[in-house]
Amino acid sequence: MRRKRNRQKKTHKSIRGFLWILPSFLGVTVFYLLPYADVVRRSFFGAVDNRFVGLDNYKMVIENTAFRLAVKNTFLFTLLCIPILIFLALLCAVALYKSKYGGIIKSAFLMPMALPAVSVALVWRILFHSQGLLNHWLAVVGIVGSDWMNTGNAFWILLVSYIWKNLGYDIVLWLAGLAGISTNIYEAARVDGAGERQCFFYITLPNLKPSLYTITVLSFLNSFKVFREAYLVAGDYPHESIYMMQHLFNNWFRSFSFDKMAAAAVMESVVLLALILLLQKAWDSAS
Amino acid sequence: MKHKNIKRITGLLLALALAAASFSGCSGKGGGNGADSAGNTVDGANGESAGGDSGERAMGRFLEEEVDTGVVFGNIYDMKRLEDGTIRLIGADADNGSKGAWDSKDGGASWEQAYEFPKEIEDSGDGYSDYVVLSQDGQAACAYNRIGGDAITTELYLLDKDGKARKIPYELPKSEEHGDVANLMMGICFLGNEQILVQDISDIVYQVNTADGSVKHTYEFDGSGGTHQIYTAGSQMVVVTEAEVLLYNTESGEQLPAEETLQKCVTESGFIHAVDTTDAGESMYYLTSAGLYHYKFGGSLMEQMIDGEMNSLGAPAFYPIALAVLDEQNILVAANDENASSAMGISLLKFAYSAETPAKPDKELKVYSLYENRDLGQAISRFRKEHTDIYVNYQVAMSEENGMTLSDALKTLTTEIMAGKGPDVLVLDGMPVETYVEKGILKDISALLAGSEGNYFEDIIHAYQDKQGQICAVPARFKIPMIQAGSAWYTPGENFDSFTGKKDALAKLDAGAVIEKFWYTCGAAWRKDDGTLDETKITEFLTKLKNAYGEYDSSVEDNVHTSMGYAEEGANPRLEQIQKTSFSYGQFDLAFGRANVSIGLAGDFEYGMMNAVNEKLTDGDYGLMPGQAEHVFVPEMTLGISSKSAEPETAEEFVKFLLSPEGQKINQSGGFPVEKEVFTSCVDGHKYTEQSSMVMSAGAGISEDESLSYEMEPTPQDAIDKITNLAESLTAPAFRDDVIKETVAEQGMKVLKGEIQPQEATNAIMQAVNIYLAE
Amino acid sequence: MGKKKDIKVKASQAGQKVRRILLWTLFVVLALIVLYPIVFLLAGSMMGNDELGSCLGAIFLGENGYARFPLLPKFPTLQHYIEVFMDSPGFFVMFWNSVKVTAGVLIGQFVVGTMAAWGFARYDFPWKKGFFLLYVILMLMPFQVLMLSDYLVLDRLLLTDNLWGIILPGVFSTFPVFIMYRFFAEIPDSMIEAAKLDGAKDWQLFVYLAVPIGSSGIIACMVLGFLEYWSLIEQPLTFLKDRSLFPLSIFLPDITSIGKSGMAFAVSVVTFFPAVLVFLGGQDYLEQGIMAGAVKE
Repeated sequence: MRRKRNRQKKTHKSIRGFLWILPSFLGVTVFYLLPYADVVRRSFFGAVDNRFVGLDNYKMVIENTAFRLAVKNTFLFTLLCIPILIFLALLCAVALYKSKYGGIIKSAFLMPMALPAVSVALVWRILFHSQGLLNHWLAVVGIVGSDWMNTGNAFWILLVSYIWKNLGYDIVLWLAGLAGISTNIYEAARVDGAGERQCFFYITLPNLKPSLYTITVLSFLNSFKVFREAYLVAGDYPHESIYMMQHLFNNWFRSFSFDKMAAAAVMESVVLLALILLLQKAWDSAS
Repeated sequence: MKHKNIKRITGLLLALALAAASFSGCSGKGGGNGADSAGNTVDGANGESAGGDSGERAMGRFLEEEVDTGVVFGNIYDMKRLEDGTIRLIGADADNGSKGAWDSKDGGASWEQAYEFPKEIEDSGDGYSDYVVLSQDGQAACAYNRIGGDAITTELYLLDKDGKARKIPYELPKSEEHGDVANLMMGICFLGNEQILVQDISDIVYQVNTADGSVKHTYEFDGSGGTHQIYTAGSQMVVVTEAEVLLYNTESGEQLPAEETLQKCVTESGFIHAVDTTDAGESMYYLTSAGLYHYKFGGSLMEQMIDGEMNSLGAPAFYPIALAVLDEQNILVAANDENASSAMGISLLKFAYSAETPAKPDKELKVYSLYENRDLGQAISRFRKEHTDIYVNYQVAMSEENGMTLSDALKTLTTEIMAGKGPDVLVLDGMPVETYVEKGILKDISALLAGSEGNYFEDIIHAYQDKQGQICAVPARFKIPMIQAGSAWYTPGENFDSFTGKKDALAKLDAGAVIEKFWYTCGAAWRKDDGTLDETKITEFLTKLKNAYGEYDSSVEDNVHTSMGYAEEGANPRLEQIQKTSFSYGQFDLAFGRANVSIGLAGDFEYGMMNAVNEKLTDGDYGLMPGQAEHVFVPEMTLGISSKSAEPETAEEFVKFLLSPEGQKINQSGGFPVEKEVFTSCVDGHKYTEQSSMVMSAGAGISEDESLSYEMEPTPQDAIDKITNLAESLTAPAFRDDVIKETVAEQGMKVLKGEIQPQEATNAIMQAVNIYLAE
Repeated sequence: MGKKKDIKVKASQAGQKVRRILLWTLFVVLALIVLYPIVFLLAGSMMGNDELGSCLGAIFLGENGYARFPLLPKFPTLQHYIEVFMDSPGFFVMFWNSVKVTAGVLIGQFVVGTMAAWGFARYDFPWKKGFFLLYVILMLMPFQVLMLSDYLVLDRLLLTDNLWGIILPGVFSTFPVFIMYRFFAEIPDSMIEAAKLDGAKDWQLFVYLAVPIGSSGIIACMVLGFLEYWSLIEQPLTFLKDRSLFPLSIFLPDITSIGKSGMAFAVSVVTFFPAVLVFLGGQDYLEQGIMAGAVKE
């Protein structure tokens, strides 16, 4: 009897819970899910003629060399930039944590985030042009520069640009994580004779693990935004080292290749799903 | 079920949107555009047209017709409806050059000359009348530039109703700004009470008494905003610049507070070209390229009476001179219209209100081009005149100021086409034509050309015909890659190898332009059957061009830029593009020895100029530009009809019109017509038959001594034959792919400047292009 | 023995001091490098056309040599700002459009997003995990993927060429839900139980407990939202056609010409300015918001 009531209460609660989500979910359905369903549908149909083609689009996309290049670059970029960013931000956060002037430095690091992409592109163009400022400075020091955006260097510029823009935010996120660790634990450890290094590895790091998931997801999300700058600086067809998925999507879009685009998008979301599940699992097991 | 849900959700969202709209006061549309919401009404019906789907159709529209004055005017200076109802205009008769006044007592239907200018102000070796204006009582004021010795002085004359002239005892003070140059009158305007306003070259306005020449007030404006155009409405002076409208009280000489409604409308509808008032200055009518507006001072009324979109008022080469509002339903406009049917390009148009015509035409035809196309704009305005039931909506995606990139514009176009809201007729001036055809975006229009065999340059008009015989895109115009040089550098008929074998043949030319020009004649040969590019051809292209270009001389660049008078970079991408590839832009440099050859795309043929340049050269000649591909032409104004068009018949009619002799003969230097007869009439110089004594003197910017003078005369038959044969010989359309072209131009420029080796550049090109082609 | 230890401690203290100084120098240098582009924009916006021309000629005019750029303009002028504020009437229209879009999105997110985050964090319902996963995936979808389909939906709802076509998808973005969820999830259960015992209803819990406690988290989220929607590019370019609806973020005069690069600099600074204000104002919340959420016993 009691059990039953309990269950009733639970179902009741569940509906109420969903009510909170409902407005958001309706909007998401209209503006995101419906379009997404349309994309999935399109991945099985011809681009303009709407003919059912089965898995042809997928096959076409997988065999497409431009697609392969874009996938390779995107993977490479993400795999490199996120760990570097997260690690650098952690270093800075630990160094800045509880220091007097940390706030000013942190603000400085945060500034780039507020800079609109268009302005960033303007600066980048002037800095990394083959006759640009960077080469000017290098020439002063006696180094022969290069045409940064049109060589393999473009990849590294993009990477630096990403870190430049997001370092501040990640530092803030880490700082928040650090602040969440109760000082009692440190004190207890110190009493037990733990050194600074030990404290860091055995207390700080494990306690920061829960933040890692959020930081990774957010850094991942922000890694997409770097495309804006890449696009604004180098256009539709940048150097092959920074030719990303979004370039490809963009170009496919222009040439009415919605079939390929949809198939690639579906594949991308499957990969995203897998990644997120993986991350979540790692995070769940941590906390 | 699912459907119902969607509907419900939609409803919910719309409700939400509405609630929020009333809350934050930001409804995306509807607000803002004052001119729009005022509607297109005279009778005040249906001011707010909510998309036209509510209620019945709004009726009533001004229809345009050209007035036959019986006189061919070489110019019209002013036109006014006088107090007694007569319409008077001051003009110059093109036949005998004499100036005078003409009257019409029947609303513009018939005209007779009222008087000829008296002796004092006749045009002669002693001077000429420059500005003439009319007042409502029939008087005229005339600024007469008298040439005496080396100096010109302006005198001011007042003509009474019958044309008797009296000199007004007034002299302009010396201009402070332009100390040495004589100060001239640049504008005059009648004001009531025997006063006129006179504007000088420094934009200073003097309020002069016509009786004694005394100056009551002087007005000066700050230098910003370019020239100030002055008009009067009653006792108010209206000063117009590109950006604003200033009002002055001429009694007190003080500036009046700016009127926001007016300011806003002018900002939206553009520069005011002509003003008229019928009620002693309480309100004014004004013309902009967006149409005719009526504005009541104080801001209580602002309406658009005529929408320029639907008639000549909005045509690109239409410059109104004078406006005469006869009554609420009849309006006369005198204008300088480059494409008017009258010989001298001066036209008089009458706009009469027709209550039976729907306010907006039933059918809408959307025409789209990436860049502004003046030929098209002109053709549209001609087409509108003949089809009052069709509203041609011409959209230019990338204008001078909107800063939209090609990529963004194409993306927007894609979305619209896919949503079924795309244009009906596309001008393919940068779109990937082949992709569009392949994806089925464009309709087969081969039927349109059926039965026209022989009228067109066949190879050109069939440039985009595919293997199945389908034609989805048709060039309405074309350009010929031409070369002109002395025999040391070019022998007619010479091929690419032998031409580029001559070191320095292309020396001193702009590196970027060289690549771009040769791209047209070479690119067509690069494509292999499998769609990829032939690497060896590209290397050959770069190597040979580098040889012909010789050492890069960095001092050249500034030279080239100034001498060619390029528009400021970035100001108008299309214009820049045209100048960069233009053939005639290089002719001055060739004639005065700054370049060894002139190459580029020719879109028209000026025999006099060609000849004058040849005479400066040793054995000068012209012909087709050599290239890896031969007999190449560049399709221009390539037309396609969207396969999703809602108005396919109208679209076809429009394309047909553009290909008809009437549409073809419009010439705004966008290329040669593909219609053979019009082509001939375009190159034969027939327009010069009547004025064979005219001498054209053309000068380039670099130095004043450098000018070419030649007589403007009909083209001799052998030259007509030569250019026609050249056009007939063209068989291969240039490879038009902007993505590849840009890559090639970028890398090629580095090669010519000696920054990288041809092989390196080829690799870079292949790398970028391979990604592109793989997509 | 005792003395020795003392020395050692002192030495290590001195070493630490040196290390600290080195560290801080490094940070200051890094901060300066990070800030350089902003200084660069400021300086550029105050240079006259002549100065810009001589500095950047190598890039824009194809002159030889390298571009130079002084830290401060030689002849500072406000010319470009005047150009922006006085001579481009379109500027203010665009500015207001940006304000409308950003405000609309933020207000909407505040209502819809907060509720959803609260729901996800505090209630159990079937497939909650699935829903949340879906939200995360949608959050990570690049715009290009959904662009066409999005356009078709907006078109059906008559929202294209309308600011609402930008605002509504923004309102229902799943990003704020993700951010705020983390935060709400970590409000101690005890607090909520206590309020419940006092007889608070669900909505009272939300309005009087969740929102106030979460205010810093919500603000943090709004700050991020502001940055995102203040510099939106793709959406307005795709969904808007009427130029009078364009937001400031796409008001970019063609920067390939010297004549307009000054204006581009000025516009950049003007666009950057509100973002900085919001950022500086909200920066503490950015940290607190997430920090408070992360507090865990």
